[in-house]
Amino acid sequence: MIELRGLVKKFDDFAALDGIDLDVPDGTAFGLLGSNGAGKSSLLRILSGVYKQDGGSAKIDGEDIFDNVAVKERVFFINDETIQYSKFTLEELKDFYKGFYPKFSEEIFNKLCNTVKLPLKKRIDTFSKGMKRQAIVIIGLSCQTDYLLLDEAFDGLDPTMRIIVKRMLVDAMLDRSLTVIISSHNLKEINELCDTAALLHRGKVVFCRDLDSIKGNIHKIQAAFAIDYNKEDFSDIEVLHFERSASITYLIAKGGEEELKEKLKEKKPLVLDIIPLTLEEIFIYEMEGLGYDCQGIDK
Amino acid sequence: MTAKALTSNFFTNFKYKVKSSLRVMVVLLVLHICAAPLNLFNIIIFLSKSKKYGSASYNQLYFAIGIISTCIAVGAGLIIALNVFNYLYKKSLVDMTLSLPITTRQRFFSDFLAGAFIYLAPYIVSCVISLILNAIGSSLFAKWNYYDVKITSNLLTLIVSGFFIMLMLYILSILAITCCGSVFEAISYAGLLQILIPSTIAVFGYIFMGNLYGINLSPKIMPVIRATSSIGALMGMFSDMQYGGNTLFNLKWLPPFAILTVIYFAAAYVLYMKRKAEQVSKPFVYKLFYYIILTSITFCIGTIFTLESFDSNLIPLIIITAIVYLLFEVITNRGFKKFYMSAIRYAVTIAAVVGITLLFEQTDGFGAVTKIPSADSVASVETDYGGFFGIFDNDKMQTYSDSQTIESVIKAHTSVIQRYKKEKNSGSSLDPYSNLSNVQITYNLKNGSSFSRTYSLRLEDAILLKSIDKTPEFKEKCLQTLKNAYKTYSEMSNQKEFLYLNNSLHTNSTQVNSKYADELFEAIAEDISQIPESEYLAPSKDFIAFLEVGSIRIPLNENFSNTLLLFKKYNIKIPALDMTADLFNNKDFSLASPENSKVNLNGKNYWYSTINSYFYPEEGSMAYLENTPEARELITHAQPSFFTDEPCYSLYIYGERYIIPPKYSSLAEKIYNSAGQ
Repeated sequence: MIELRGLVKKFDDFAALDGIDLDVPDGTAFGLLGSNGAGKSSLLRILSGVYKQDGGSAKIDGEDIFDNVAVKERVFFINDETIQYSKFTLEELKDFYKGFYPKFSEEIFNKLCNTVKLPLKKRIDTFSKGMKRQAIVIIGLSCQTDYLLLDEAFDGLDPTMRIIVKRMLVDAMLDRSLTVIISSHNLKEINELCDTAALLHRGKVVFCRDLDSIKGNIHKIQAAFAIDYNKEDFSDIEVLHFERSASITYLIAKGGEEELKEKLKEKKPLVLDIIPLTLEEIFIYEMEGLGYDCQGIDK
Repeated sequence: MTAKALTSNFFTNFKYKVKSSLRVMVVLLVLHICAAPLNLFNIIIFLSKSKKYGSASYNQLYFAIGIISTCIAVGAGLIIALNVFNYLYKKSLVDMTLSLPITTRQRFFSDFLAGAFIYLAPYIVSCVISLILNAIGSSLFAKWNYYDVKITSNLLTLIVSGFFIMLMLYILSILAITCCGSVFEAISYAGLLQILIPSTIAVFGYIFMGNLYGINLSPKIMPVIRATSSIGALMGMFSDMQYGGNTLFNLKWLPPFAILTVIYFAAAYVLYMKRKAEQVSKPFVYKLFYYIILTSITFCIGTIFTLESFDSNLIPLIIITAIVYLLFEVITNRGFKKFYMSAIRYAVTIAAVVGITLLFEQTDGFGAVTKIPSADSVASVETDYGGFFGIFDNDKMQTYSDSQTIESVIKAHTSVIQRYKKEKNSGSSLDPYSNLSNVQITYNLKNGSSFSRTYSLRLEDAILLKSIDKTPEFKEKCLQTLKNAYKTYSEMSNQKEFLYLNNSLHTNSTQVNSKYADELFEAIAEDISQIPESEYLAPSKDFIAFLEVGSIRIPLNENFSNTLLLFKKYNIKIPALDMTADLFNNKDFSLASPENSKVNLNGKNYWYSTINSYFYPEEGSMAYLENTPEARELITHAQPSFFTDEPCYSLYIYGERYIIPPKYSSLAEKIYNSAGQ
């Protein structure tokens, strides 16, 4: 289990992570959401032992991660670049990682290579971007670590390849209770693959819950009232977004469907529709609530 | 985590790095083989041909190839360090490298050893090949020498030296790379550091300190340069090759060099461990390193410019250092961001450099120039002063600890400093090179410290120093030196007698029997200590003959009363001046007018002769002596060691100058005017 307590990472005066508290249970598919510069990559680098935290603690099963070989052997990190593998062939890359990860499985490696039909003896810099991604995901899975950290791992993959990579990950999760942490701007991917997600903003955790509860806790409301209410009139509800168009009032509000219905009934709506949001919509409205929106650009 | 797993990851990393550089190793091996092994092989061929045909010539091209290939192979240390530690300046490699299950310490040592192996293994292989060829050569030839150079001992020294020089170059490169975070800085500063260490020390020692009167760090600087950098050590080796004789190389420099190598390694390790992964892509991880380099460059340029004078060079100094400094700043800051800060930093740096240089100059190196110890604080004094008659080798320092000698040295030193202060205050120029003789003085103080000064003495200072000749300690050393010189030369020449009396014309000599040597040396030492000071510079007594003990030549005259008595006692014949007719009327026996033989020192004319000094006046300025009674008489008055500011004639005998004392000037003038030129 990954346990982060009061985690701080600073780059000069800028706090990329500012007191992160997070638990990731084993076997979870964990999504990391957040705007650019929210601290997702920094968090993954701390989890993989690349960065050393400036404050707080980052532990896996109670042990510090940084400079701890025993813990690092259980973690594999795939970042958003592939240039570092360019001079290797896939076979050389396998030999390289095999020496470092004691549980490396040739069987899994061969099986996955056969599935995606990647050439073993060609240099990786001759691969397409998608092939490079596949190659490193295959390596990551073959290392058989307990934790696989993916930073923008689906970038550059075509839809078919995305499905193949996702299937590889899901199989590994099912086979050996692999914990996957995915950082991505592609919320569809997170939605499909993860069961838990955390939203980071300016180095802090905005929320961290399982996806069902996230989705069940934020709703889009379309209602028509006899009176024209303002946003302030809904002070008993946590409203992330308020908009009125003619007689229809649109609200994005936090809370369960029943709870919201009860509170809105007091205002005697003529029409009331409560619709669940997609993860992408939740992300956008949550970020808007935090002052991170595209309104300024529109204007 | 088991120790086995830790070791395994260490070796996995090591193996990967070595494996990926196999091609580099092959290239290095070829380069190394082109150096010592190729030359040894060719020496074997050369000696075989020499043996067979009596003589052969060695193709010097092989040496040239060897030197070029060695330079390339040694320089490869920088590239290997850059390659092995590439994740320290390539951002794309950071995640891949640092996320591997290996500790920071393991990674450092594993990478360090891998690089060292890639770099040094081909060298070691070539050394083994060289040793095999050396064994073959020494078994084939009874005299396994290249001309006079002993091959085996020099080869072994060369192998050890090469290993340590390469190791330091590699470690210094790692040190620089550890301080840098981007490609450009890593490459350029790894190279710059290698050059800047010896350069800064050289500028500091030779120019900055050397500019201070009497302070000469030159003898101490070369060993420092040699011990602190690979390039310095290589320079030292080339210097050894030029002046080393048959034992080209020595390893005296190695212990401090090895200690420095360990210190550089420790510094690289500490800085590596303190580095953070996120600092990659910053030009400098440790800004202090950058400012040290930049300040050193500014200091070097500044010192060179201010060598002559501040007044005329201040503006060019500011312009050039500003261009260099700000160029570095623009490159490092990747543009003109906060350029005013760069300008301020430059102003502070140049003000510090100029300020320190000016302060040094104005305060005479914070009083170092005028520092004279009190006699009671000195435990001993060392000097290369060879005695008035040059008994001691001038390259060899003599140590004196009796108070009389120490006081004499301090007296001479005080005279030098007083004159310096007077001339400095009056604004007259100090030209240390137009003085009489150089002397180095080292005071070993009772508190355990020591300091040295080197002066070019003027006459008035030199006379004060000559009172050393009268001390009992000097007398004892003089006696020992004469005995040792006699013993050494006798052994070298396999002759029992190597003690001669010789006249100035080299026409007659007397060999002194060795059984009188000790007694003779006692008499001479006694005479030297008794000669009145007034007789040092301008002896009133006629020169009789040279007493020659090996290379020591003592001009005897009647002041050597004990010596002359001894000759009489043992019936040792003083060689007569045999003036045969064929000596005359040629340039090896000629007279120069006062005008043509004067020597200008500090704006004043002098006429002097010193032993073992040769002069070759211009043709036409000399009068050839004719075989006349006057000329014969004049020769008997010629002095081989004489110093005066009174104009007088000089006699040249086989290039050696003899002064005709002023009291015989009228006789000399008569001969000069009547002689043919």
